[in-house]
Amino acid sequence: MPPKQAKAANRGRGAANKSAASRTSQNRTSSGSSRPAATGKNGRQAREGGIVEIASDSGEGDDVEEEEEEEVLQTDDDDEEAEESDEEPPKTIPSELLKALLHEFFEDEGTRITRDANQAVAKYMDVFVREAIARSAVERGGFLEVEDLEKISPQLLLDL
Amino acid sequence: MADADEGGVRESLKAALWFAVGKIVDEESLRRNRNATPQFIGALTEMVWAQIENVATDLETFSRHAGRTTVTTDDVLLLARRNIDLHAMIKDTVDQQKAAKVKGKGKAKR
Repeated sequence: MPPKQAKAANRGRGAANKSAASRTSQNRTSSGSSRPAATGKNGRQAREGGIVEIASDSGEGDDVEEEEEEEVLQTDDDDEEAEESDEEPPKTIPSELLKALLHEFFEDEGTRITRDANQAVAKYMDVFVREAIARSAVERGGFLEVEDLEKISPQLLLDL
Repeated sequence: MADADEGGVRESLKAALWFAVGKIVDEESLRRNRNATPQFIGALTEMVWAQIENVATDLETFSRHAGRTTVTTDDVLLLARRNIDLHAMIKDTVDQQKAAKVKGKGKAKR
């Protein structure tokens, strides 16, 4: 099922975005049952490795934040064990984080952003990330690699 | 000193972004029965980081052009002007938010 959809996603903008939307909604219904436990563990380990690297690179002040994130991770695991009791919302970039990032990049300190606009940007970035993954997934089987991302990034940046 | 602080803030923001992107990648790769290398997540994070930077300056410019100092949903919609489907998706979320607000206000009044 995934390859077909993914191919459709790579052709033309219309198909890409619509199928991205439908996939998101599909995920809501099927997320609980279709999770292979083994790959889940692998993915999580890999990610934790990445985070640990970051933590050791950055200053002491970051440690607090990293711990908080670890806690979030823990609760996530608990949720997965109690699968299907209530539907997990699809993960997104937290709007608070996005707000902090936007303010970091605004050139004028006085620039403000409404909450609705912030949420809209969160949606935009969510589409961006998922579209990048979807297009990368079309390239060959096996692992998603940096080269896959390199192939699709020019067109992606023009499309979004 | 101030520069170092600035760098520290950006470092932790990037760490947080990395974490968030990693979660989405995990979710998507599980669904596709694929696995992503940590380098993939890192590269994607860099891409998202750069995109947010572009988006931030665009939004700021749009709001200034409209004579505002506050970024509104109109500016975000303008951001997606070249992609009709993306525009429609964002318009959807914006409209949902507006509807939720009206509903909330209605309830408060009753």
